[in-house]
Amino acid sequence: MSITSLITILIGGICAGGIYGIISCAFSFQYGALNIVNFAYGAFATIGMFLVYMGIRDLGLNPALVIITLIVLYFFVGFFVRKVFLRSSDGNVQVLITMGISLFLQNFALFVWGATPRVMINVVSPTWKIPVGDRVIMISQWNVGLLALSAVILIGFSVFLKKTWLGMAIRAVVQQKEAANLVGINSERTINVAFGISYVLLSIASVMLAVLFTLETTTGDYYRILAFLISLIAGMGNIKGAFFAGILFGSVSSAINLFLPRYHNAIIYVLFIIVLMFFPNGLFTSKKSLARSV
Amino acid sequence: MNLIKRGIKSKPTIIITAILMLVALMPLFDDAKGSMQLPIHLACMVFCYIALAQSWNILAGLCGQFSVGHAAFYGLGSYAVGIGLHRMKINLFLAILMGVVFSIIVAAILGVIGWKLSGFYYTMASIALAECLAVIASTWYELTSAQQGIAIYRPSIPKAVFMYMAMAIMIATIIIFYFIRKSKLGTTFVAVRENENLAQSLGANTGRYKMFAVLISGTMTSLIGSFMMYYVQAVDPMVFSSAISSKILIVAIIGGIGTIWGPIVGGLYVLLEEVMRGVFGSSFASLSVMIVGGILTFIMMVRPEGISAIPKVYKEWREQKQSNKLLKCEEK
Repeated sequence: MSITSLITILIGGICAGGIYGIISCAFSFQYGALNIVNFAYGAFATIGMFLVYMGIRDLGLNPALVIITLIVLYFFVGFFVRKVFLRSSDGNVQVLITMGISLFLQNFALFVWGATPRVMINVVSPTWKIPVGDRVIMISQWNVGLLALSAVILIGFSVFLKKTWLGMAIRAVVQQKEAANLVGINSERTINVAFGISYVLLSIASVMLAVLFTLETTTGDYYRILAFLISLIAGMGNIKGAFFAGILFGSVSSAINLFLPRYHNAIIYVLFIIVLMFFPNGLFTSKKSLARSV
Repeated sequence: MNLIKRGIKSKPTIIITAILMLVALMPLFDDAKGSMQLPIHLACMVFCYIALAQSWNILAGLCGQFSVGHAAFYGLGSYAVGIGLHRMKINLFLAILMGVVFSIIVAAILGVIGWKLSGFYYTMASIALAECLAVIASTWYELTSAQQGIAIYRPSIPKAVFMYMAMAIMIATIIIFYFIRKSKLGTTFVAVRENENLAQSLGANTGRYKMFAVLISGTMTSLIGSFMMYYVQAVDPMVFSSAISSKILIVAIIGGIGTIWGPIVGGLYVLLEEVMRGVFGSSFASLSVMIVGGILTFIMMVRPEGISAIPKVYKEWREQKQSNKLLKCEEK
């Protein structure tokens, strides 16, 4: 194992981490800010991936059109999931309702698309080659592009939360619902819209996942656990932290894959528990910043 | 004694006892073709899941430690019997004891985690613990035969005997839950669930009580896992999967979390799942789970308190209606 291939793999892991980051950001926003536990999260990501695949590969539509349609569709899906199913603020009820939705969606995907894995893009991405001595470090251009894109989207999201009227309304509702109602914000509708916006992030993440990874109908649980893990490592509701935790996760995961691929999941989970034992509120959340979420 | 008297005299107990009597009579109607074998098997599964859900209920319903990793204990119990009988060739009871010992170790780890973490952090840590064990079970080939799983041989015992044993186990867990709920221990559990800081300020060592809860619950789950393994005779790494954990908590919550009747009524969910699987057959298995998921979502939307609260809600509704009538009469 030479140092250059190690660097190559680590850079690959960091770039994949950007996508993990964006998946967990949306979850972190849902749970940390809106107080909604979504166990159907991975199932929605899988359905999004397969919808993109179906639009682009099976129906042969314009990719930009498909992606924009998916984003708009997912906004309304999120809006109506909150409006119809998740009105209760009781955590147990939310867990069970979303588990039911998850069972439904995963088996729907299995029923419609079958268990065959698919690959959306079968072209190898162009790479930059950086010579170091007699060896080369290879950096896939698409991966770097996806990392940059996810960073831009998250910066855009936090600017949206801080600067626009709707974003400020969401933050006000998150901080104190009653007071927000008093100053004339329709808090129920604002939460619905916020949930829809988190689904927009999820749809973008699912497009990226479809580009980078193999599509399987049964991976929903894995993406769900991934989102849970990363957003908890960062600290719930900490969106910037979730992105960096995603990158951390990606690099650690690729390093483990390099040396002990058989025990990858076990090591990740043990590390996760150890990290949480020392930082019970997540890595990037100090006690001081707990008070002001989002 | 007073407690027992009050428990036996309540109306739901009589109804459940009647249903159990009917189920217990089922093996008598078995004919040469074995037409009662399937209902007996279903009853056995339902009883086992009610027992599992009841032991989960002690941890999550009473003590508020929302664990989604209970498959860890279940799997440890199953694997202990599998490994003990198949690999080590030891006595069955020694094997069950081995499962209990390992479960206590894992429960102690989970208890230490519960000491530090709370809420969703605890939930995720419990999932991580179960997934760790799943990875060990699916990679340590010499011990667990990895994905092939372990099959054991036992003298052939009629299914009815297993059904009676499952029924006994279920009743035992219900009685344990009842006594814990009524004792000082259970009251402290509820205090920890409702407000941990307040309980601590009143002098309860909350970490230690959480540890008690997870130890009791984990040991019970492991024993039931051993029993189910001995019944179905095969175990594979899927016993650690989140499918089992979520089934346990669905059974408990759909009936009503934290109540004694919750898991008992929630057993209907297991029945629904098995019947749906039977109706659609293996070729449309995904369709059957789809329908089960839809029904689950629907029930929780209509009755967020769980199915077992329906008679209470109905009673309140009727009382209100009657009082409305009286009001109208008075107005006239």
